[in-house]
Amino acid sequence: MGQPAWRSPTVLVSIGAVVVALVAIIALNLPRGSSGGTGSLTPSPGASVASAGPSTSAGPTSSAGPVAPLPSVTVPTPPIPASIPRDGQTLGAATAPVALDVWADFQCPACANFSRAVEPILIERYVAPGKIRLTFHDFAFLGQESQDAASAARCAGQQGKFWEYQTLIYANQKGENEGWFSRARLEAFAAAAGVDSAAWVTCYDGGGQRQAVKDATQVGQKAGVSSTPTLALNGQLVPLDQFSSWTDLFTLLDTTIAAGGSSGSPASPSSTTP
Amino acid sequence: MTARRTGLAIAGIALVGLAIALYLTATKLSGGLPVCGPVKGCEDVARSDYSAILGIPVAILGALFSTAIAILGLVWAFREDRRALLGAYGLGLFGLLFVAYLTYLELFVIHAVCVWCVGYGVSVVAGWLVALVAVRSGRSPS
Repeated sequence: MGQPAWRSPTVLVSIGAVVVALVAIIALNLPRGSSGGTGSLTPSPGASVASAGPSTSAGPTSSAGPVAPLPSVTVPTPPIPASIPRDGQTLGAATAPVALDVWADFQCPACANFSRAVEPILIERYVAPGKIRLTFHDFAFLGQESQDAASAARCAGQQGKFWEYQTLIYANQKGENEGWFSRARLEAFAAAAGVDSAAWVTCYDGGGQRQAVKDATQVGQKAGVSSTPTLALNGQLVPLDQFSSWTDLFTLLDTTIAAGGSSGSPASPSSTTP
Repeated sequence: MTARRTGLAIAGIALVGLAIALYLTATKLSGGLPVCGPVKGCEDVARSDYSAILGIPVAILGALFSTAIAILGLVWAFREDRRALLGAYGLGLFGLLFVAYLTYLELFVIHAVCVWCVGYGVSVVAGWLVALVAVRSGRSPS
């Protein structure tokens, strides 16, 4: 009635809503490119080391990620006690009655949550006192940087630092296949983990661990792993989807340990524990 | 399509969304995790960096959003104030786009889907569709 159709309130409200929504979404994405989320914007004082700077040699997979000045490496706390025995990707005494196997991808956010929030409790309450032994299995399925990181962790493992290295990776996980696990970053993690750099570089650039990562991922697939993290307790898959919180895992561990190491879980058995 | 009927439909759907949002808010604030049912992924989504915007849990934003839509729906139903309907329509469109963005994050960034969040998204879309029908049918023939 008198006004052109495009100036009707409905159209104006529609345009307004779309514009506001787009502005909000774009605004939310602006800072996210370079920062993770909760609390990881700035590493706590004393908990960061200068990163190794862009290395001169272009590694086998130096991707065009968000490079330029490398962000400093966030060092996870608390450190894993050196007194805990370790064997390759296994942490804990070989005599521990319960074996907890973890299949994970270094780029999977849920795995990072597990590593940051659950593993320290597992290590303190169960691994350090010799109640369980924790074994990490590669399930690298989220792309090139998952495989690179897994390979890098294995190279740190050759020097007995696999667990330190894997917690460093998860503490610094930000985005997928964006260069957060570029060769230069992975080398900086190695330095932060206290790994001998020359030996690590020889191992990583040699590429000998890459096939091992692929093989381990295939073994996981055959054992029924379809998502990460997947846990197995004494060879039986842990029904994480039925848990309402991680405290359910601790309860399951307590009952299993109390039962002398035999798991009462009715979950389908996977083949064998390595 | 009477104002009473569409307004109550908008408010009713928004209250379903509000219930879901309040459940997710409660689990988020209590430090627990949503019970997921047959589909995995609630835990990953609820724990991800994206579960809060500028420090405010997304679930709380959803509760506020649904409350606002419910109020606008009721005002439209009982006062027949067309500005309320337009408000519900515009806010609903904003919500729809935001839900689309969050669903994109679930599918392509977090790689996990949360059934509760999907249910909430359905309530947003359904409420907006009712508002759209009401807006269109209410256009005066003049």
